[in-house]
Amino acid sequence: MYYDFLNVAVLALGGLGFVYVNLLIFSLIRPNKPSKLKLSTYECGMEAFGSSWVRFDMRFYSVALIFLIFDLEIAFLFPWSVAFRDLGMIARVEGLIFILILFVGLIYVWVRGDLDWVKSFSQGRAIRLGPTAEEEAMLLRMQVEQALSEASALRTVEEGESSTEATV
Amino acid sequence: MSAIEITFMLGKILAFFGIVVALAALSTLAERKVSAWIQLRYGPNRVGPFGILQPLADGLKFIFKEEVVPDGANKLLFRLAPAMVATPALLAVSVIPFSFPVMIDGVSHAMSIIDVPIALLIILALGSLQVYGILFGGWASNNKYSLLGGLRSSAQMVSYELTLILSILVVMMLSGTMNLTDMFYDQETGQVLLWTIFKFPVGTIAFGLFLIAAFAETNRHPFDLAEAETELVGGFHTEYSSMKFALFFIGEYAAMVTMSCLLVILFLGGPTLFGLLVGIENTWVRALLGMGVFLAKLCSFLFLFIWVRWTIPRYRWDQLMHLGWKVLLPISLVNIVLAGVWVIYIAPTWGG
Repeated sequence: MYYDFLNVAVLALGGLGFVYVNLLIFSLIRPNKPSKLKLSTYECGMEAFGSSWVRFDMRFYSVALIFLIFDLEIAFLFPWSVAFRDLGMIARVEGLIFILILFVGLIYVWVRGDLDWVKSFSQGRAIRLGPTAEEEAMLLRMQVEQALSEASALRTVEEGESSTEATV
Repeated sequence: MSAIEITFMLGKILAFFGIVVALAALSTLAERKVSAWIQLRYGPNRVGPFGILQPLADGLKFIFKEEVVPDGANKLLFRLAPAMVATPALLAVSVIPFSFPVMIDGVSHAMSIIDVPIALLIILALGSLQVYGILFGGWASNNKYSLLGGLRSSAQMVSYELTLILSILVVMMLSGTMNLTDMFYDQETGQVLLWTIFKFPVGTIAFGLFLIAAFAETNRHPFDLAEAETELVGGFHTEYSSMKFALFFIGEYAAMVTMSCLLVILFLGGPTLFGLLVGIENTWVRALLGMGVFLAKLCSFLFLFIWVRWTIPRYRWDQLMHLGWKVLLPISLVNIVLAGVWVIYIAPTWGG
Protein backbone atom coordinates (compact mmCIF):
# COMPACT_ATOMS: atom_id res chain seq x y z
CA MET A 1 0.00 0.00 0.00
CA TYR A 2 2.71 2.48 0.94
CA TYR A 3 4.32 2.43 -2.48
CA ASP A 4 1.01 3.64 -3.87
CA PHE A 5 1.88 6.96 -2.36
CA LEU A 6 5.25 6.87 -4.08
CA ASN A 7 3.17 7.01 -7.27
CA VAL A 8 1.47 10.11 -5.95
CA ALA A 9 4.80 11.67 -5.09
CA VAL A 10 6.07 11.00 -8.61
CA LEU A 11 2.88 12.38 -10.13
CA ALA A 12 2.93 15.43 -7.86
CA LEU A 13 6.53 16.08 -8.88
CA GLY A 14 5.46 15.72 -12.51
CA GLY A 15 2.53 18.06 -12.09
CA LEU A 16 4.42 20.68 -10.11
CA GLY A 17 7.39 20.31 -12.47
CA PHE A 18 5.15 20.85 -15.49
CA VAL A 19 3.75 24.02 -13.96
CA TYR A 20 6.95 25.49 -12.57
CA VAL A 21 9.18 24.63 -15.53
CA ASN A 22 6.72 26.51 -17.67
CA LEU A 23 6.56 29.43 -15.26
CA LEU A 24 10.14 29.78 -14.06
CA ILE A 25 12.61 28.23 -16.50
CA PHE A 26 10.97 29.52 -19.66
CA SER A 27 10.78 32.97 -18.10
CA LEU A 28 14.53 33.20 -18.82
CA ILE A 29 13.94 33.25 -22.57
CA ARG A 30 10.99 35.60 -22.51
CA PRO A 31 11.45 39.25 -23.45
CA ASN A 32 11.01 41.71 -20.61
CA LYS A 33 10.46 45.29 -21.73
CA PRO A 34 8.06 46.91 -19.31
CA SER A 35 6.75 50.39 -19.91
CA LYS A 36 4.46 52.57 -17.83
CA LEU A 37 1.55 52.17 -20.19
CA LYS A 38 2.01 48.43 -20.48
CA LEU A 39 1.99 47.96 -16.73
CA SER A 40 -1.15 49.99 -16.14
CA THR A 41 -4.26 47.93 -15.43
CA TYR A 42 -6.62 47.31 -18.29
CA GLU A 43 -9.87 49.22 -18.07
CA CYS A 44 -11.21 49.14 -21.62
CA GLY A 45 -8.89 51.92 -22.76
CA MET A 46 -10.03 54.38 -20.12
CA GLU A 47 -7.44 55.68 -17.68
CA ALA A 48 -7.65 53.55 -14.55
CA PHE A 49 -8.67 55.44 -11.46
CA GLY A 50 -8.81 54.58 -7.78
CA SER A 51 -7.91 51.36 -6.06
CA SER A 52 -9.31 48.13 -7.42
CA TRP A 53 -9.78 46.64 -3.99
CA VAL A 54 -13.20 48.13 -3.68
CA ARG A 55 -15.92 47.06 -1.30
CA PHE A 56 -17.89 44.35 -3.02
CA ASP A 57 -21.39 43.05 -2.70
CA MET A 58 -22.37 41.63 0.67
CA ARG A 59 -24.34 38.88 -1.02
CA PHE A 60 -21.17 37.08 -2.13
CA TYR A 61 -20.32 36.77 1.54
CA SER A 62 -23.74 35.45 2.52
CA VAL A 63 -23.61 32.90 -0.30
CA ALA A 64 -20.23 31.72 0.98
CA LEU A 65 -21.60 31.42 4.54
CA ILE A 66 -24.64 29.40 3.44
CA PHE A 67 -22.38 27.18 1.34
CA LEU A 68 -20.08 26.58 4.31
CA ILE A 69 -22.91 25.35 6.51
CA PHE A 70 -24.40 23.13 3.81
CA ASP A 71 -21.03 21.72 2.84
CA LEU A 72 -20.24 20.87 6.44
CA GLU A 73 -23.54 19.04 6.84
CA ILE A 74 -23.09 17.20 3.56
CA ALA A 75 -19.63 16.09 4.70
CA PHE A 76 -21.37 14.21 7.53
CA LEU A 77 -23.48 12.39 4.95
CA PHE A 78 -20.51 10.83 3.14
CA PRO A 79 -19.99 7.81 5.46
CA TRP A 80 -23.74 7.31 5.78
CA SER A 81 -24.29 7.15 2.05
CA VAL A 82 -21.37 4.77 1.45
CA ALA A 83 -22.66 2.40 4.11
CA PHE A 84 -26.32 2.88 3.19
CA ARG A 85 -26.77 -0.59 1.66
CA ASP A 86 -25.61 -2.39 4.78
CA LEU A 87 -27.20 -0.12 7.39
CA GLY A 88 -30.16 -1.09 9.51
CA MET A 89 -33.49 0.63 9.08
CA ILE A 90 -33.02 2.91 12.11
CA ALA A 91 -29.70 4.26 10.85
CA ARG A 92 -31.18 4.86 7.40
CA VAL A 93 -34.11 6.80 8.84
CA GLU A 94 -31.76 8.80 11.06
CA GLY A 95 -29.83 9.86 7.98
CA LEU A 96 -33.04 10.88 6.29
CA ILE A 97 -34.00 12.96 9.36
CA PHE A 98 -30.61 14.67 9.08
CA ILE A 99 -31.40 15.51 5.44
CA LEU A 100 -34.77 16.83 6.60
CA ILE A 101 -32.94 19.20 8.97
CA LEU A 102 -30.81 20.29 6.01
CA PHE A 103 -33.99 20.91 4.06
CA VAL A 104 -35.50 22.97 6.89
CA GLY A 105 -32.34 25.08 6.88
CA LEU A 106 -32.72 25.59 3.14
CA ILE A 107 -36.36 26.66 3.58
CA TYR A 108 -35.30 29.04 6.37
CA VAL A 109 -32.73 30.90 4.25
CA TRP A 110 -35.14 30.81 1.31
CA VAL A 111 -37.96 32.45 3.29
CA ARG A 112 -35.55 34.94 4.83
CA GLY A 113 -34.71 36.00 1.29
CA ASP A 114 -31.00 35.23 1.50
CA LEU A 115 -31.15 33.22 -1.70
CA ASP A 116 -32.69 36.03 -3.73
CA TRP A 117 -30.04 37.77 -5.75
CA VAL A 118 -32.43 40.48 -6.86
CA LYS A 119 -34.25 41.42 -3.67
CA SER A 120 -38.00 41.28 -3.94
CA PHE A 121 -39.68 44.53 -2.96
CA SER A 122 -43.01 43.01 -2.01
CA GLN A 123 -41.57 41.26 1.04
CA GLY A 124 -41.07 44.52 2.89
CA ARG A 125 -37.77 43.38 4.42
CA ALA A 126 -35.52 44.77 1.76
CA ILE A 127 -34.90 48.47 1.43
CA ARG A 128 -37.28 50.02 -1.06
CA LEU A 129 -35.15 51.50 -3.79
CA GLY A 130 -37.98 52.49 -6.10
CA PRO A 131 -41.66 51.95 -6.88
CA THR A 132 -43.04 48.41 -7.15
CA ALA A 133 -44.14 47.03 -10.48
CA GLU A 134 -47.81 47.88 -9.79
CA GLU A 135 -47.00 51.41 -8.72
CA GLU A 136 -44.82 51.83 -11.75
CA ALA A 137 -47.62 50.62 -14.03
CA MET A 138 -50.09 52.97 -12.35
CA LEU A 139 -47.69 55.87 -12.71
CA LEU A 140 -47.21 55.05 -16.37
CA ARG A 141 -50.97 54.80 -16.91
CA MET A 142 -51.52 58.18 -15.26
CA GLN A 143 -48.83 59.71 -17.43
CA VAL A 144 -50.35 58.22 -20.57
CA GLU A 145 -53.83 59.43 -19.61
CA GLN A 146 -52.51 62.88 -18.91
CA ALA A 147 -50.71 62.96 -22.23
CA LEU A 148 -53.85 61.77 -23.99
CA SER A 149 -56.04 64.40 -22.35
CA GLU A 150 -53.49 67.08 -23.21
CA ALA A 151 -53.42 65.88 -26.79
CA SER A 152 -57.21 65.89 -27.06
CA ALA A 153 -57.33 69.38 -25.50
CA LEU A 154 -54.79 70.52 -28.07
CA ARG A 155 -56.81 68.93 -30.84
CA THR A 156 -60.01 70.74 -29.79
CA VAL A 157 -58.07 74.00 -29.68
CA GLU A 158 -56.66 73.29 -33.16
CA GLU A 159 -60.10 72.33 -34.44
CA GLY A 160 -61.49 75.52 -32.92
CA GLU A 161 -58.75 77.50 -34.62
CA SER A 162 -59.34 75.81 -37.97
CA SER A 163 -63.10 76.33 -37.67
CA THR A 164 -62.59 80.01 -36.87
CA GLU A 165 -60.23 80.21 -39.89
CA ALA A 166 -62.93 78.62 -42.02
CA THR A 167 -65.56 81.07 -40.85
CA VAL A 168 -63.10 83.89 -41.47
CA MET B 1 8.16 -4.91 -5.66
CA SER B 2 9.40 -6.40 -8.89
CA ALA B 3 10.89 -4.60 -11.87
CA ILE B 4 7.76 -5.14 -13.94
CA GLU B 5 5.65 -3.52 -11.25
CA ILE B 6 7.88 -0.44 -11.19
CA THR B 7 7.76 -0.16 -14.98
CA PHE B 8 4.01 -0.58 -14.89
CA MET B 9 3.74 2.15 -12.26
CA LEU B 10 5.91 4.65 -14.13
CA GLY B 11 4.19 3.73 -17.39
CA LYS B 12 0.81 4.42 -15.82
CA ILE B 13 1.93 7.78 -14.48
CA LEU B 14 3.38 8.84 -17.83
CA ALA B 15 0.45 7.52 -19.84
CA PHE B 16 -2.35 9.01 -17.74
CA PHE B 17 -0.62 12.33 -17.20
CA GLY B 18 0.06 12.42 -20.94
CA ILE B 19 -3.53 11.52 -21.77
CA VAL B 20 -4.94 14.34 -19.67
CA VAL B 21 -2.48 16.99 -20.89
CA ALA B 22 -2.91 15.85 -24.50
CA LEU B 23 -6.69 15.83 -24.20
CA ALA B 24 -6.63 19.28 -22.60
CA ALA B 25 -4.44 20.57 -25.44
CA LEU B 26 -6.45 18.85 -28.14
CA SER B 27 -9.75 20.11 -26.76
CA THR B 28 -8.55 23.68 -27.24
CA LEU B 29 -8.14 22.79 -30.92
CA ALA B 30 -11.44 20.90 -30.93
CA GLU B 31 -13.12 23.91 -29.35
CA ARG B 32 -12.06 26.10 -32.26
CA LYS B 33 -12.70 23.45 -34.89
CA VAL B 34 -16.20 22.63 -33.62
CA SER B 35 -17.09 26.29 -33.22
CA ALA B 36 -15.95 26.89 -36.78
CA TRP B 37 -17.97 23.93 -37.95
CA ILE B 38 -21.08 25.20 -36.14
CA GLN B 39 -20.61 28.70 -37.53
CA LEU B 40 -19.80 27.49 -41.08
CA ARG B 41 -16.16 28.56 -40.99
CA TYR B 42 -12.94 26.60 -41.53
CA GLY B 43 -11.25 27.14 -38.19
CA PRO B 44 -7.50 26.70 -37.75
CA ASN B 45 -6.21 24.81 -40.80
CA ARG B 46 -2.71 26.14 -41.52
CA VAL B 47 -0.48 24.46 -38.91
CA GLY B 48 -0.07 20.85 -39.94
CA PRO B 49 -2.78 18.78 -41.64
CA PHE B 50 -6.22 20.11 -40.64
CA GLY B 51 -4.51 22.40 -38.13
CA ILE B 52 -3.70 19.45 -35.89
CA LEU B 53 -0.44 21.03 -34.70
CA GLN B 54 -2.15 24.24 -33.67
CA PRO B 55 -1.99 23.52 -29.88
CA LEU B 56 1.76 22.96 -30.23
CA ALA B 57 2.19 26.25 -32.06
CA ASP B 58 0.09 28.00 -29.43
CA GLY B 59 2.24 26.47 -26.69
CA LEU B 60 5.44 27.69 -28.35
CA LYS B 61 3.97 31.14 -28.71
CA PHE B 62 2.96 31.21 -25.05
CA ILE B 63 6.54 30.35 -24.09
CA PHE B 64 8.05 33.24 -26.06
CA LYS B 65 5.59 35.95 -25.08
CA GLU B 66 6.36 38.63 -22.54
CA GLU B 67 4.84 38.26 -19.10
CA VAL B 68 3.25 41.43 -17.79
CA VAL B 69 2.70 41.85 -14.06
CA PRO B 70 0.60 45.01 -13.70
CA ASP B 71 1.57 47.84 -11.39
CA GLY B 72 0.10 47.60 -7.94
CA ALA B 73 -0.66 43.88 -8.27
CA ASN B 74 0.05 41.63 -5.33
CA LYS B 75 3.13 40.00 -6.86
CA LEU B 76 3.17 36.82 -4.78
CA LEU B 77 -0.49 35.90 -5.18
CA PHE B 78 -0.46 37.01 -8.81
CA ARG B 79 2.29 34.50 -9.59
CA LEU B 80 0.87 31.79 -7.36
CA ALA B 81 -2.67 31.83 -8.76
CA PRO B 82 -2.12 30.10 -12.15
CA ALA B 83 -0.14 27.33 -10.48
CA MET B 84 -2.92 26.92 -7.92
CA VAL B 85 -5.44 26.43 -10.70
CA ALA B 86 -3.36 24.14 -12.91
CA THR B 87 -1.71 21.85 -10.33
CA PRO B 88 -4.84 20.44 -8.61
CA ALA B 89 -6.46 19.91 -11.99
CA LEU B 90 -3.46 17.87 -13.15
CA LEU B 91 -3.17 15.98 -9.86
CA ALA B 92 -6.82 14.90 -9.90
CA VAL B 93 -5.81 12.35 -12.56
CA SER B 94 -4.10 10.29 -9.88
CA VAL B 95 -7.23 8.50 -8.69
CA ILE B 96 -9.10 8.06 -11.96
CA PRO B 97 -9.10 4.48 -13.27
CA PHE B 98 -8.95 4.54 -17.06
CA SER B 99 -9.69 0.85 -17.51
CA PHE B 100 -10.14 -2.58 -15.94
CA PRO B 101 -7.52 -3.80 -13.48
CA VAL B 102 -4.71 -6.02 -14.87
CA MET B 103 -3.07 -9.05 -13.33
CA ILE B 104 0.69 -8.97 -12.70
CA ASP B 105 2.15 -12.10 -11.05
CA GLY B 106 -1.31 -13.06 -9.88
CA VAL B 107 -1.93 -9.75 -8.15
CA SER B 108 -4.61 -7.42 -9.44
CA HIS B 109 -3.44 -3.88 -10.16
CA ALA B 110 -5.96 -1.12 -10.70
CA MET B 111 -5.54 1.02 -13.81
CA SER B 112 -5.35 4.20 -11.78
CA ILE B 113 -2.17 5.78 -10.47
CA ILE B 114 -3.29 5.15 -6.92
CA ASP B 115 -6.11 2.89 -5.90
CA VAL B 116 -7.51 4.38 -2.72
CA PRO B 117 -10.91 3.84 -1.14
CA ILE B 118 -11.58 7.58 -0.92
CA ALA B 119 -10.94 8.46 -4.57
CA LEU B 120 -14.06 10.62 -4.87
CA LEU B 121 -13.16 12.66 -1.79
CA ILE B 122 -9.71 13.37 -3.24
CA ILE B 123 -11.19 14.59 -6.52
CA LEU B 124 -13.70 16.83 -4.72
CA ALA B 125 -10.98 18.23 -2.45
CA LEU B 126 -8.67 19.04 -5.36
CA GLY B 127 -11.58 20.57 -7.25
CA SER B 128 -12.30 22.87 -4.32
CA LEU B 129 -8.67 24.00 -4.23
CA GLN B 130 -9.09 25.52 -7.68
CA VAL B 131 -11.49 28.10 -6.24
CA TYR B 132 -8.58 29.59 -4.26
CA GLY B 133 -6.50 29.97 -7.38
CA ILE B 134 -9.28 31.79 -9.19
CA LEU B 135 -10.04 34.04 -6.24
CA PHE B 136 -6.35 34.86 -5.73
CA GLY B 137 -5.91 35.57 -9.42
CA GLY B 138 -8.89 37.89 -9.47
CA TRP B 139 -7.96 39.70 -6.29
CA ALA B 140 -4.24 40.08 -6.92
CA SER B 141 -4.56 41.60 -10.40
CA ASN B 142 -5.42 45.10 -9.15
CA ASN B 143 -8.15 45.26 -11.76
CA LYS B 144 -11.83 45.80 -11.07
CA TYR B 145 -12.97 43.39 -13.75
CA SER B 146 -10.67 40.70 -12.40
CA LEU B 147 -11.94 41.19 -8.86
CA LEU B 148 -15.56 40.92 -9.95
CA GLY B 149 -14.81 37.95 -12.18
CA GLY B 150 -12.98 36.13 -9.40
CA LEU B 151 -15.80 36.77 -6.94
CA ARG B 152 -18.46 35.67 -9.38
CA SER B 153 -16.54 32.59 -10.32
CA SER B 154 -15.95 31.48 -6.75
CA ALA B 155 -19.56 32.17 -5.70
CA GLN B 156 -20.76 30.19 -8.68
CA MET B 157 -18.40 27.30 -8.00
CA VAL B 158 -19.41 26.97 -4.36
CA SER B 159 -23.12 27.21 -5.20
CA TYR B 160 -23.00 24.39 -7.70
CA GLU B 161 -20.58 22.30 -5.69
CA LEU B 162 -23.45 21.41 -3.33
CA THR B 163 -25.48 19.96 -6.18
CA LEU B 164 -22.40 18.18 -7.50
CA ILE B 165 -21.64 16.56 -4.15
CA LEU B 166 -25.28 15.64 -3.51
CA SER B 167 -25.58 13.88 -6.86
CA ILE B 168 -22.33 12.03 -6.14
CA LEU B 169 -23.83 10.98 -2.78
CA VAL B 170 -26.72 9.38 -4.67
CA VAL B 171 -24.31 7.33 -6.79
CA MET B 172 -22.44 6.33 -3.64
CA MET B 173 -25.68 5.16 -2.05
CA LEU B 174 -26.50 3.09 -5.14
CA SER B 175 -23.08 1.46 -5.38
CA GLY B 176 -21.96 1.53 -1.75
CA THR B 177 -18.38 2.58 -2.40
CA MET B 178 -16.15 5.60 -2.91
CA ASN B 179 -13.53 3.71 -4.91
CA LEU B 180 -13.93 4.45 -8.61
CA THR B 181 -12.82 1.01 -9.83
CA ASP B 182 -15.38 -0.69 -7.60
CA MET B 183 -17.90 1.85 -8.77
CA PHE B 184 -17.81 0.84 -12.40
CA TYR B 185 -17.60 -2.84 -11.47
CA ASP B 186 -20.83 -2.32 -9.58
CA GLN B 187 -22.43 -1.07 -12.78
CA GLU B 188 -21.70 -4.07 -14.95
CA THR B 189 -22.74 -7.60 -14.69
CA GLY B 190 -23.48 -7.93 -18.32
CA GLN B 191 -26.50 -5.65 -18.37
CA VAL B 192 -27.02 -2.17 -19.75
CA LEU B 193 -29.65 -1.46 -17.13
CA LEU B 194 -27.06 -1.48 -14.38
CA TRP B 195 -25.40 1.72 -15.58
CA THR B 196 -26.37 4.40 -13.09
CA ILE B 197 -27.88 6.61 -15.78
CA PHE B 198 -30.50 3.92 -16.52
CA LYS B 199 -31.51 3.46 -12.90
CA PHE B 200 -34.71 5.37 -13.40
CA PRO B 201 -35.62 7.80 -11.90
CA VAL B 202 -32.89 8.25 -9.27
CA GLY B 203 -29.79 7.70 -11.38
CA THR B 204 -31.18 9.64 -14.32
CA ILE B 205 -31.97 12.70 -12.18
CA ALA B 206 -28.56 12.47 -10.52
CA PHE B 207 -26.94 12.36 -13.97
CA GLY B 208 -28.80 15.49 -15.07
CA LEU B 209 -27.90 17.33 -11.89
CA PHE B 210 -24.26 16.31 -12.11
CA LEU B 211 -24.05 17.35 -15.76
CA ILE B 212 -25.44 20.84 -15.07
CA ALA B 213 -23.26 21.24 -11.98
CA ALA B 214 -20.21 20.06 -13.94
CA PHE B 215 -20.76 22.80 -16.50
CA ALA B 216 -20.98 25.38 -13.72
CA GLU B 217 -18.03 23.93 -11.79
CA THR B 218 -15.71 24.19 -14.77
CA ASN B 219 -16.94 27.72 -15.58
CA ARG B 220 -18.10 26.59 -18.96
CA HIS B 221 -20.83 28.04 -21.09
CA PRO B 222 -23.78 28.58 -20.40
CA PHE B 223 -22.46 29.38 -16.92
CA ASP B 224 -19.25 31.20 -17.87
CA LEU B 225 -20.29 34.40 -16.12
CA ALA B 226 -16.85 34.76 -14.61
CA GLU B 227 -15.55 35.69 -18.03
CA ALA B 228 -18.65 37.03 -19.69
CA GLU B 229 -16.88 39.03 -22.39
CA THR B 230 -19.51 41.70 -22.73
CA GLU B 231 -19.56 42.42 -18.99
CA LEU B 232 -16.16 41.67 -17.50
CA VAL B 233 -13.72 41.53 -20.44
CA GLY B 234 -11.83 38.35 -19.52
CA GLY B 235 -12.97 37.94 -15.92
CA PHE B 236 -10.36 36.83 -13.43
CA HIS B 237 -7.64 36.38 -16.05
CA THR B 238 -7.95 39.81 -17.70
CA GLU B 239 -4.47 40.88 -16.58
CA TYR B 240 -2.75 37.57 -17.28
CA SER B 241 -0.52 37.00 -20.24
CA SER B 242 1.91 34.48 -21.63
CA MET B 243 2.42 31.20 -19.75
CA LYS B 244 0.36 32.26 -16.74
CA PHE B 245 -2.64 32.71 -19.01
CA ALA B 246 -1.92 29.34 -20.60
CA LEU B 247 -1.83 27.67 -17.20
CA PHE B 248 -5.29 29.03 -16.38
CA PHE B 249 -6.48 27.51 -19.62
CA ILE B 250 -4.76 24.18 -19.02
CA GLY B 251 -6.37 24.14 -15.58
CA GLU B 252 -9.79 24.82 -17.03
CA TYR B 253 -9.52 22.18 -19.73
CA ALA B 254 -7.95 19.61 -17.40
CA ALA B 255 -10.84 20.18 -14.98
CA MET B 256 -13.17 19.61 -17.90
CA VAL B 257 -11.42 16.31 -18.67
CA THR B 258 -11.65 15.26 -15.01
CA MET B 259 -15.34 16.10 -14.89
CA SER B 260 -15.95 14.09 -18.07
CA CYS B 261 -14.03 11.16 -16.54
CA LEU B 262 -16.23 11.34 -13.46
CA LEU B 263 -19.37 11.49 -15.59
CA VAL B 264 -18.25 8.39 -17.50
CA ILE B 265 -17.27 6.42 -14.40
CA LEU B 266 -20.17 7.39 -12.16
CA PHE B 267 -23.02 7.26 -14.64
CA LEU B 268 -21.99 5.44 -17.82
CA GLY B 269 -20.20 2.43 -16.40
CA GLY B 270 -16.62 3.55 -17.12
CA PRO B 271 -14.84 1.16 -19.52
CA THR B 272 -17.69 -1.37 -19.54
CA LEU B 273 -19.56 -1.95 -22.76
CA PHE B 274 -22.82 -3.85 -22.26
CA GLY B 275 -20.85 -6.62 -20.55
CA LEU B 276 -18.99 -7.51 -23.76
CA LEU B 277 -15.53 -6.99 -22.30
CA VAL B 278 -15.95 -8.86 -19.02
CA GLY B 279 -15.65 -12.26 -20.64
CA ILE B 280 -12.17 -11.63 -22.07
CA GLU B 281 -9.68 -13.84 -20.21
CA ASN B 282 -6.47 -11.93 -20.93
CA THR B 283 -6.57 -8.98 -18.56
CA TRP B 284 -4.17 -6.90 -20.68
CA VAL B 285 -6.32 -7.20 -23.81
CA ARG B 286 -9.38 -6.44 -21.74
CA ALA B 287 -7.70 -3.40 -20.19
CA LEU B 288 -6.66 -2.05 -23.60
CA LEU B 289 -10.13 -2.51 -25.11
CA GLY B 290 -11.67 -1.03 -21.97
CA MET B 291 -9.43 2.00 -22.25
CA GLY B 292 -10.58 2.51 -25.83
CA VAL B 293 -14.22 2.40 -24.72
CA PHE B 294 -13.46 4.75 -21.84
CA LEU B 295 -11.71 7.29 -24.06
CA ALA B 296 -14.54 7.13 -26.60
CA LYS B 297 -17.10 7.93 -23.89
CA LEU B 298 -14.80 10.61 -22.48
CA CYS B 299 -14.38 12.30 -25.86
CA SER B 300 -18.11 12.30 -26.48
CA PHE B 301 -18.58 14.20 -23.22
CA LEU B 302 -15.82 16.65 -24.18
CA PHE B 303 -17.64 17.16 -27.45
CA LEU B 304 -20.84 17.82 -25.51
CA PHE B 305 -19.08 20.49 -23.45
CA ILE B 306 -17.94 22.24 -26.63
CA TRP B 307 -21.22 21.74 -28.47
CA VAL B 308 -23.20 23.35 -25.62
CA ARG B 309 -20.81 26.29 -25.49
CA TRP B 310 -21.44 27.25 -29.11
CA THR B 311 -25.19 26.69 -29.27
CA ILE B 312 -26.73 27.89 -25.99
CA PRO B 313 -26.95 31.54 -24.85
CA ARG B 314 -25.40 32.61 -21.56
CA TYR B 315 -27.31 32.75 -18.27
CA ARG B 316 -27.84 35.99 -16.40
CA TRP B 317 -26.20 36.17 -12.97
CA ASP B 318 -29.38 36.22 -10.88
CA GLN B 319 -30.82 33.41 -13.02
CA LEU B 320 -27.70 31.39 -12.31
CA MET B 321 -28.03 31.81 -8.55
CA HIS B 322 -31.75 31.09 -8.77
CA LEU B 323 -31.12 27.88 -10.70
CA GLY B 324 -28.37 26.72 -8.35
CA TRP B 325 -30.00 27.39 -5.00
CA LYS B 326 -33.73 27.23 -5.65
CA VAL B 327 -34.06 24.60 -8.34
CA LEU B 328 -31.12 22.22 -8.33
CA LEU B 329 -30.45 22.11 -4.57
CA PRO B 330 -34.01 21.14 -3.50
CA ILE B 331 -34.20 18.61 -6.34
CA SER B 332 -30.94 17.01 -5.29
CA LEU B 333 -32.01 16.84 -1.62
CA VAL B 334 -35.29 15.16 -2.60
CA ASN B 335 -33.32 12.89 -4.93
CA ILE B 336 -31.29 11.56 -1.99
CA VAL B 337 -34.48 10.57 -0.19
CA LEU B 338 -35.69 8.93 -3.39
CA ALA B 339 -32.38 7.10 -3.68
CA GLY B 340 -32.88 5.75 -0.17
CA VAL B 341 -36.29 4.39 -1.12
CA TRP B 342 -34.85 3.04 -4.38
CA VAL B 343 -32.01 1.17 -2.71
CA ILE B 344 -34.35 -0.41 -0.16
CA TYR B 345 -37.31 -1.35 -2.37
CA ILE B 346 -36.35 -1.39 -6.05
CA ALA B 347 -32.63 -2.30 -6.13
CA PRO B 348 -33.15 -5.97 -5.08
CA THR B 349 -35.42 -6.52 -8.09
CA TRP B 350 -33.52 -4.34 -10.59
CA GLY B 351 -31.80 -5.97 -13.53
CA GLY B 352 -32.72 -9.48 -12.41
